[in-house]
Amino acid sequence: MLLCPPESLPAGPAVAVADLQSLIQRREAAVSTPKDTSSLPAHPGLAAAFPTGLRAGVVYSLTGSTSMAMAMLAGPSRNGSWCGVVGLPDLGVEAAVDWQVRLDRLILVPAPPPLRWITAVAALVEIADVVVAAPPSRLSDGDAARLMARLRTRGATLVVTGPWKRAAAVVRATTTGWDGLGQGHGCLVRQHLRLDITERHLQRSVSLTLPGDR
Amino acid sequence: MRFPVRVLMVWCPGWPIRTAQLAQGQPVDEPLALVSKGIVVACSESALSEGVTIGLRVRQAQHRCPDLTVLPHDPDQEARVFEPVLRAIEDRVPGVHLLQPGLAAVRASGASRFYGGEQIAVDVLLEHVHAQGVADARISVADGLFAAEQAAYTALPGESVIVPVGESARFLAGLSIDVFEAGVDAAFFSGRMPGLLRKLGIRDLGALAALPRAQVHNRFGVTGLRAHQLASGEDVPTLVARAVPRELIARTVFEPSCDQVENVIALCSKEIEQLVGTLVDSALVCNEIRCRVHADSGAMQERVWRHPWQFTAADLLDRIRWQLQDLAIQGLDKLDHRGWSDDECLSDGVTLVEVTPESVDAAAHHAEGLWGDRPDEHVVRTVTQLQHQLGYDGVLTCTVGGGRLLNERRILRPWGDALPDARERRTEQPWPGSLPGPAPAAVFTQARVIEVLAEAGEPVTVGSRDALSGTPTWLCLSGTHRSRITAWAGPWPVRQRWWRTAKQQQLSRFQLIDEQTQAWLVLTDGSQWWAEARYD
Repeated sequence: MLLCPPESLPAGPAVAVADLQSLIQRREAAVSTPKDTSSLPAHPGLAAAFPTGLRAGVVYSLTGSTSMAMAMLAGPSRNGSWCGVVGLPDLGVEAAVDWQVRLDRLILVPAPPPLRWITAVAALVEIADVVVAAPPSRLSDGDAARLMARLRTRGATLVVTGPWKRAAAVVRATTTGWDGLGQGHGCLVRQHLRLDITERHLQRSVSLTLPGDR
Repeated sequence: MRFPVRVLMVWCPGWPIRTAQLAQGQPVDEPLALVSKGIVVACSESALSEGVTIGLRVRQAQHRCPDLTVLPHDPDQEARVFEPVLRAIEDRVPGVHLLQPGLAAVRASGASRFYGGEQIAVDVLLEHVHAQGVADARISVADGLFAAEQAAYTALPGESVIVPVGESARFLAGLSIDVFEAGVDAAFFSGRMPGLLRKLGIRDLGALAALPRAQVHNRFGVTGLRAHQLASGEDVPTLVARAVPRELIARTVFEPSCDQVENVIALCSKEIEQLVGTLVDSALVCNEIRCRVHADSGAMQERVWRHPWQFTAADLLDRIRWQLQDLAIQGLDKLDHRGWSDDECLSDGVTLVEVTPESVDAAAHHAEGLWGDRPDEHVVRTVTQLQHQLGYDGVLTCTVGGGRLLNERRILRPWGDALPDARERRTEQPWPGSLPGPAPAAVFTQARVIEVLAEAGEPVTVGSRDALSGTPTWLCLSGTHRSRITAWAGPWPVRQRWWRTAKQQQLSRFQLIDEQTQAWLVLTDGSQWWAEARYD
C-alpha cells in the first residue's frame, strides 16, 4: 500500500530538501540570533553615536582615539561587566577612571607575543563583555572566523583599534579641536571629536564634546 | 627574698647583623648598619672600627664611614632566622624562653641533672648548636636571667661561663652601671637613672646594691627598685617556655639536587597539598606566603607572594614555578623571553623548597563577601590559565596611585597579586603640580624623546626661574618630520625629590597641540624633551 498519492512522488525529494534547508536555517538562526540582536549598554556620553547601544557579538573597528576605546569599554564596565584590554601598554588608567571604568573588573594584557594574540583575546572573550585590542600583526582568516563565531555565541563585543576585515561597524574618530589652550596660557579643557561611523553600508557622522555630561 | 631560677643562656653575638648579612648576601667584613627610625641599632665589626656606634643618627654614621651600607632593622626576619637555633636548643633541653632574637634561655637544673653536671650540659648544647651551622654561640649559667645574660656577654667566642650557685650577686657586683643600658631591658632602663647614678658616684652594681632599697625606690621609682633587685641578685623564679607554633611549613628537600623546573614542581606538589589540607582542616585561610629556594651553590632566594584571596594548592605551585623561572632566566638574556616552556632548566640545582604561610587567619573572619569580593570561579580560572600561557607578568590588573609623574600614578600588578590598599596608594594626599583638565588617554610607559624647536629651528630651553629661550613653534616627534605647534601652555614645574638629585628631577611640563590637532603632554629638564602622554 502506498503512503502518499503517486502524483506527489516526483516532487517528494525536492520538497524534503527544501524543508531540511529551511529547518537548518531556522536552527542556525536560533543559535546565533538571540545574542546577535541583543546589545550592550553604551556610556551616556556616547548616546548620540550609539543610540541603541553597542551590538553584542560583533567586531568594531575603531581608529583615531584611545578615549573612544575607553568610552566604549565604559558602558558595560559601569554596569558590572568584566572587560579586557589587549596590546595597549600605554593605556591611561586615570582616564579610564574618568570614564567610570571599574578597574577592579578590568584585565590588561599589555604586550602579548604576536603568536599569542588570539589566545589572549579568546580567553578574555570568555569572561569579558567588551574586549579592546590592538590589531594583531597577522591573523589567519580561519582564526578570525573562529574568534568571531566565539564572539557571537558569547555575546561579547570586540573593539579593534585598527583595521579589521569583517567589522560590523567602522568607527573613525577625528579630533576637530581643543578648548582651553592658548598661546602660552590656559590648559586643555575639552576635546571636540567627530565620529564617522560606517555601519551596514550606511555612514553617519556624530560630533561629540569630551568630557561631556558624564 | 625570692630565689632566682638557675638559667642556662645561649647567646649568638651580633645576631641582627649576621641575619642581615645572610639575607642580603653581604660579605662579613663590609661595614653594615641596621637602622630603625633614623637611629643605628646594630652595626658590624668593621663599621664599629670606623667609629660607627649604636644610637648614632644615620647621617652621622654615614659621615663617619662613607662606605657604610645602611639597611632597615627587621626584627621579624631575625626572629624567623633564629627559629632553627631555638629548635636546635629544644632538641637537647626543652622549654626554651626567648628573650630576643639571638638570646635564648633554658632552665639549667633539669639539664644538669639529665646530663650529669652543668659543664657537660653546656658542652653538649654548645656542640649541638654549632652543628646547626651557627658560627659563634656562647653559653653561660647563672642564677637569674639578668645575671646569666651579663655572664654570657663576658664569655669568649665559642666558650662558656658558669657562675657557681649563689655567686651571682658577687659576679654582678663587679659590673659597671652601663650594663643597664646595653642589655635586653635597655628600653626599660633608658630613662635618667643610669646617668644620675654615675653622677652620684655609683659606678658599679655592687655600690648600687649597697644602698638602702627603700631610698633607691623613693628616688628612682619602679625603675630604681628593679635595678636594685637585679643588682642584689634577685630575679624571676620561673621561665616562660615559648609557645611552639603549629608546624605550617611545606618543606621539600631534594636529594640529589634537581635542576628541572617541572620536576621540582611535581615533587613539591605533595607537600603543598598537605599544607593546604592542614590549613583547611584547621579552618584557616592564608593569603600571603613566603617561598624560599635553596640552591646547590648555597645561594638562597626568598620571596613573599601576596594574593587577594586565599591560596589554593594550584596557586601555590604556580608561585613556586614563577620563582624558579625567575631563577632560571636570571643569568640568561631575558629580553625575548616571554611565556614559559616545559623543559626549562636551572643552571643551579635546587636542594630545598620551603613554603611558609606568612599571614594566617581564621577562616570565619573571611566569610564570603567580607574578604574582598572574590571574583567568579570561572573568571579566576580563565585568567589564571591565560597567565599560565603568557607568564606571570603577562596579565595585569591596575589601579590609580599617588605621584607626580603620570606613569607613577598608574599602578600595575600581575593578576593574582594583591593591589595596594588605599593608604599605600596615597591618592588622597596633595600632589602639587598635578594636572588640571581631563586625564590623557595614552600614558607612555617609557617617555619618548622628542624635540621642541623655536621659529628659527633652534631648540627651546627652559632656564632658571622657568624662562623660555623662545616660543615653542615646531614639534619633532621622530626623525626630520616636524609639525607646527598651534597652541601651547607651560612651563608647569614638577618639583619632586629635589633633595635627592640636584638637576635631573627639576622637570617642567608643557601641553602642546600640533597641526594634526593632536594634544601632547611633554616634559623637559631644561634642554632635553620627552613626550609623557598623549590626549587622543
